[in-house]
Amino acid sequence: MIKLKGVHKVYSMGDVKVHALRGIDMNVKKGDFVSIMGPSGSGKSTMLHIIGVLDRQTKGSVHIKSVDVAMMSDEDRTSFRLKEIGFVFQFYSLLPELTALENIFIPNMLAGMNGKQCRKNAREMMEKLGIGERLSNYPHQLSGGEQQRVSIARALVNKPELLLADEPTASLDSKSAMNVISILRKLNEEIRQTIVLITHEQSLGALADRGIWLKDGAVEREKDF
Amino acid sequence: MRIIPFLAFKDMVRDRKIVLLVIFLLAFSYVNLTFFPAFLNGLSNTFQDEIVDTGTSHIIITPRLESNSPYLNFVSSTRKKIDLIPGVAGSSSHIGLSGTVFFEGKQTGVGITALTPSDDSHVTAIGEKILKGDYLSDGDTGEIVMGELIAGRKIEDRIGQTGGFGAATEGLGGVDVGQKVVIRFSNGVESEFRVKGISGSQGFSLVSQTIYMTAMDAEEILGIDDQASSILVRLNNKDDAARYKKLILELGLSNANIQTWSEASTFAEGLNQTFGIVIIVTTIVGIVIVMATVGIVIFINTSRKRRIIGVLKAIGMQKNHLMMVFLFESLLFGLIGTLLGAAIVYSTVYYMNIHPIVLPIGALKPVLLTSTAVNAVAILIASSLVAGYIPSRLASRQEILETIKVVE
Ligand SMILES: Nc1ncnc2c1ncn2[C@@H]1O[C@H](COP(=O)(O)OP(=O)(O)O)[C@@H](O)[C@H]1O
Ligand SMILES: [Mg+2]
Repeated sequence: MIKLKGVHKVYSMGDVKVHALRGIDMNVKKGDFVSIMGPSGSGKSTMLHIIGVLDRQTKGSVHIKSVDVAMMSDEDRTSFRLKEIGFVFQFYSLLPELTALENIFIPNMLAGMNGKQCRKNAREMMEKLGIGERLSNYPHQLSGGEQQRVSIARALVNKPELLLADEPTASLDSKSAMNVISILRKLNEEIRQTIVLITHEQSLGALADRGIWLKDGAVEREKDF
Repeated sequence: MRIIPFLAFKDMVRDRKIVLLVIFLLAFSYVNLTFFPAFLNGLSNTFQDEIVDTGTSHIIITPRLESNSPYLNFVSSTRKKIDLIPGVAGSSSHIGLSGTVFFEGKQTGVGITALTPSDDSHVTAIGEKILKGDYLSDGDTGEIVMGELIAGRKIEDRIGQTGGFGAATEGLGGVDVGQKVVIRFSNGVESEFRVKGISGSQGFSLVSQTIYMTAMDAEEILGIDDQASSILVRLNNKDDAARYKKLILELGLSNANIQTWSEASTFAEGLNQTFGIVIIVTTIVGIVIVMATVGIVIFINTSRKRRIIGVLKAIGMQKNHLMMVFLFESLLFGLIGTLLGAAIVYSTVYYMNIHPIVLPIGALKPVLLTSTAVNAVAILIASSLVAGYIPSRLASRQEILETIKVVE
C-alpha cells in the first residue's frame, strides 16, 4: 500500500536548508494500522504529507498503491487525494458555515455524487461514528471530540484506501482522545481500514498494530504491539 | 459541479451582512450608471421640446444656399401637398426679417418672424407663450408681439433686486402692451407698430428674443407674395421625423433644404454630446466603485479563509473549482446588485414620469433607454467578475501546506 525508499526532504528557506527527512524506508500493507511517534520536529508531519501526496520528496521514491505519486501532475495528485486518501488534521479543519452533515458529504460532492446520495452516505457515516444526532449542528456547536469525529467521517466518506491522521487528539482531553483513537481501532478491525496515525502519546500510539519512532528525520526504531 | 454554487451560497449566507452591503453598493452603482443618463435624456428632451415648439417644429424646409434666393416659392401649393400626407398635423410658413426697433430714444437690432397665426397654431406653440397682452390674429396689421428680452424692463422694476442682467439685457427699457415702437427694416422701409403682446418663456427659447408680426404685413414690407423663408411641418409623432423627411423629399420640391428637428437644431446635438461625455465619466466612476467593492470583499474573504481553502485542496478539490467558487460569488454579487438596482431605477423613473420635476423650461421626465439598462447590467457583471478574478485566482493557487499550518 505504502512504500517509501530512501526518502529525503530538504526545505530551503533562502540560504538556510532544513533536512527534515534523512532517508526513510517504510512499508505499510493494506489493513495495517501504524502509529508514528517521536519528538516534535522529528519529521512526522513531513513524512505524512509526502505519504498523503500533499508534498513531494527531495530524494528517494514514494509509491502509494504502486503508483509513483511524485510523477503525477498537480491535478492528478488532487484527484488521487480525493479518491484514495482521507485526512484528519490536527485542528479546526471543518467549514464553519456548513453543518456537520454538509461537511461530511463535501468529498462525496467533489466526487460528483448527487445530493440525495451524499446525504444518505454522510448520515450513515455519522451513525457509525456515534454522532448521528449531531448532523444539523454547526462545528462551533460541537465539542472538540465531536469535531474530530466529524473530520474522521469526512475523511472516510469516499471510502479511501488510506486514512492519515496528524495528531488528531492533540487538542482534546484524554478521555475524548482515547475515544477518537478507539474509533480508529474499530475501523481498522471492522473494515480493515489502512491507517497511519501520528501521535506523540505513547499510550495512544500503542493501540495501533505497529509503532514507528522517528528522530531527526530518520527511523529510530519500530515495534509491533 | 454542484459543489461550486453550493459552497458559494453557504459562504454568502454566512456573511450576509457584508453580502448585503456589497449588493447595495452594486445596486447603487447600477443606479448611478442608468439613472443619470435617464435624467439627462429627460432634460435633453425638455430642451428639445422647447426648440421644437418655438423654433423648428418637427421638419423645417428652407431654401438651399445654392439657390441664392432667401425665399421658397409657391408656398401655398407646397403646403397643400404636405398637408395631404397622412400623419402630418399641419404646416406653417414663416418669413424672416431683420431690422432695428426704436423706442423712447433707445434702439436695438432684432430678428422678426412673420407668420399666419391660424396656420401656425397647429405647428408651433408660439401663441401660447404670451406673458402679457394678446397674441396676433390673422387680420392684424401694424401690430406686433415682442419678446420680453427686447421689451426689457424699466429700471425701477429692478430696484431691490440683486444681480440683474446689466445693460445688455435691458432691451428697450420696458416696452409695455399698447405702446408704439418704430421698426426700420433692413430694406429701408420704416413703419410704426403697436405692441399687442409680450412673449417669453423661461428656457433658452427664441420667443423671448424675437418680434412676431403677421405674414400679411411682412409681404407688404418686403413686396413678396406666396414666398416664405421657411415652411415648418408638424407631425403626429416627433419620432417619425426622419421617415417624413423622406416622404417630403419625394415631393420633389425645387430648391428646398429639408431637415428634421434634430438636424436643424445644432443646440440639441451639442447638448447630447456634452451629456454623452458626462455619462462616460459617471460610467467610469461606477466601474471603479464596483471593481473596488467586489475586489476588496473577495480579497478579504479569501484571506480569512486561507486555512479552509488549504483543507479543501488537501481533501481533493481542484484549484480551478475553488477559484470558481469565489468567481461565482462575484457573479452573484453582480447579478443581485443589478436586479436590485434595476428595480430601484425603473420604479423611480416610472414614478417621476407620473410626477415629473417641474423646471423653469418645462416638466422633466426621465427616459431610461433599454440599451442603457442592458449595457449597465453587462458593465456591472463584467466588472464584478474581473475584480473577483484576481483575488480568487491568487487564493486558489496558494501552497496547501502553507495554508494548513495557519492556526486561526
Ligand atoms: N515548510 C517548511 N519550511 C521549512 N522548514 C520546515 C517546513 N515544515 C517543516 N519544517 C522543519 O522540518 C522539520 C520537521 O518538521 P515536522 O515534520 O513538522 O516535524 P513534526 O511533525 O515531527 O513535529 C522541523 O525542523 C521543521 O522546522
Ligand atoms: Mg507535526
